[in-house]
Amino acid sequence: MTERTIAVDYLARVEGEGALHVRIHDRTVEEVELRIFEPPRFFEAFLRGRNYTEAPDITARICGICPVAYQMSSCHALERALGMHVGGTLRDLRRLLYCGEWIESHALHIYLLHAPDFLGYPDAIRLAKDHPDAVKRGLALKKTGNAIMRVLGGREIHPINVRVGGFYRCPAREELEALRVDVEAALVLAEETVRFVAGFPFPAVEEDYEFVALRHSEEYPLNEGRIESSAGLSIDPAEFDGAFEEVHVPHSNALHSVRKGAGSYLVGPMARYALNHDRLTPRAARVAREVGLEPVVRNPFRSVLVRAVETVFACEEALRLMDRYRMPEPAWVEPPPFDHPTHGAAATEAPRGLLYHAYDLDAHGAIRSARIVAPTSQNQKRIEDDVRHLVERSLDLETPALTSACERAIRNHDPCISCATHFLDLDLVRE
Amino acid sequence: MDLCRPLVIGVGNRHRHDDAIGLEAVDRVRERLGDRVRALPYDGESTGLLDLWAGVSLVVLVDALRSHGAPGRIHRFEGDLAPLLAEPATTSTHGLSVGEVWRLGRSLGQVPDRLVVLGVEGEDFSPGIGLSPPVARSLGPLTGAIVAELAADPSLAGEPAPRGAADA
Repeated sequence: MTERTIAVDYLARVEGEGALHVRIHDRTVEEVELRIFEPPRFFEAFLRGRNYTEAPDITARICGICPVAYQMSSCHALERALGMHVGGTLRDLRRLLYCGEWIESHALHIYLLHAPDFLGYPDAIRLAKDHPDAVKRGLALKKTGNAIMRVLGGREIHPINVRVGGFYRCPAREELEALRVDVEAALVLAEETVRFVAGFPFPAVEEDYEFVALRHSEEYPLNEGRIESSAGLSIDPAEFDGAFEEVHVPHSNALHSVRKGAGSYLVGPMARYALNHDRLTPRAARVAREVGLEPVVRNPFRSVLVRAVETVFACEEALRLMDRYRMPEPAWVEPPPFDHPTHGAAATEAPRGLLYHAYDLDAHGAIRSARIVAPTSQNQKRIEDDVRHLVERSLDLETPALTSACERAIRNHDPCISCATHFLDLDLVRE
Repeated sequence: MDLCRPLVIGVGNRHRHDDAIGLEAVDRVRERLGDRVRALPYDGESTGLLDLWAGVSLVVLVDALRSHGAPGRIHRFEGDLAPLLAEPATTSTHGLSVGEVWRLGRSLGQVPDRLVVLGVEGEDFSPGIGLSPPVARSLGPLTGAIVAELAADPSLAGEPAPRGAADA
């Protein structure tokens, strides 16, 4: 009887702290546990008793990489609770702010976290020695994303300019025009990124995912849409709890999300692209065709290519939104007065996937309960499934190589452990 | 303002107790030297340092560190930043560590002419506001050490001597 353990005690190049434990007994993979151990941060409890107006700023603190996603999901959920709708230029500005976050987050993942896996480097620093121009391209893209976030959000980490109903202050048209040259350059850099990434060696793997993402009638989804899946699900975000459930597992501080009656599912770029490739902007669609990106990508290693195409989309969309911008007056829609308890739920597309928020408010506008379901906690079970399949295919690999392959399988999905805990060390046991 | 002039960068997160020491030190330097020196608090994403410091004659970077020594102890690094690279990534609250960004900058040719890192041994990096008592006590000597680094830099020769180079 042989037992083999794969242990990664600290997962590198992911956001946050987590570990992976794999136990193999007589060539059977018996346990795969993605352990999320960054302490639970009790954000949902922090929110209880606070006025609803504080939710966008409090929830933005959950993540330094995707604070806009938290602000957007909280605003939309609360606006639904209040029966208000924010449209027109304010809606455009939210979408533009989200584009900034997608550019910043995708560039970080593609160049600093993921490219070293494909090009055979332990980290971005060693990658930069041999491929300085590539890393500079990634940093320039990231800088432009951060600049959009700074102009619209007040600062690039934990923006402070978003409120229920809109913004505290809207930028003057000149402030956006000052960004235009950099965003035009970023669009070209993003197209170069797609061609650069398309040259990576991709292992030939296909997984049978149920993809879950927003789908909007006209746009590639950011802020709005129905929650749809590749298995035919189509619901309003308010119906999330009827279709999905969160399950506590002992090895993780994050809750596992599953589709009721169906098991694991995948959110994020692969899911968005599979369900929405027909909504891509023209240059994003053209470069995807140019590099032969299939309409539905089931190879998790090619997620990096989808992320690159989405970066082109985000730059192109940002330019479109900037072109038609006229400074709105006022900068926000005033929420209606409160006179009865209410409930609202919404989902938006964080860079890593669907982010669901739901709030119960009392008659004075205080938050009685809050629920936040982050993309990584939704993907956690699906990531474990990917690792299980990889280990089953790779049992003859020596433990160090197998360990490295497991880490790569996890990074394919750009997990944000900080968000999920409310996560990686790898521990592989062969019995 | 001459962007090549010496620059003090305080790195940290005010909401992680002792990780705020770099930001607090920048506040003190500004109080003492006013506009005579560029001093920036930096709580942004760490690769942003590359743009801040590239081509600057002298950068004094102040950050919290953890090496299992006495809390509040001030460490000075120049040239050899290897000890900073050993810091476990899990301690960092801002992505790549300063040591990693320095190495990345060297690969890309985006580093200052001279980088002096003043690292203060932290005790408490948990979520919350306020320095631990031993780290708070280091603030005076730390500010003095920053001012002394600036005063010794030839690019500031002829400037009025900074007051109280050590107010510990």
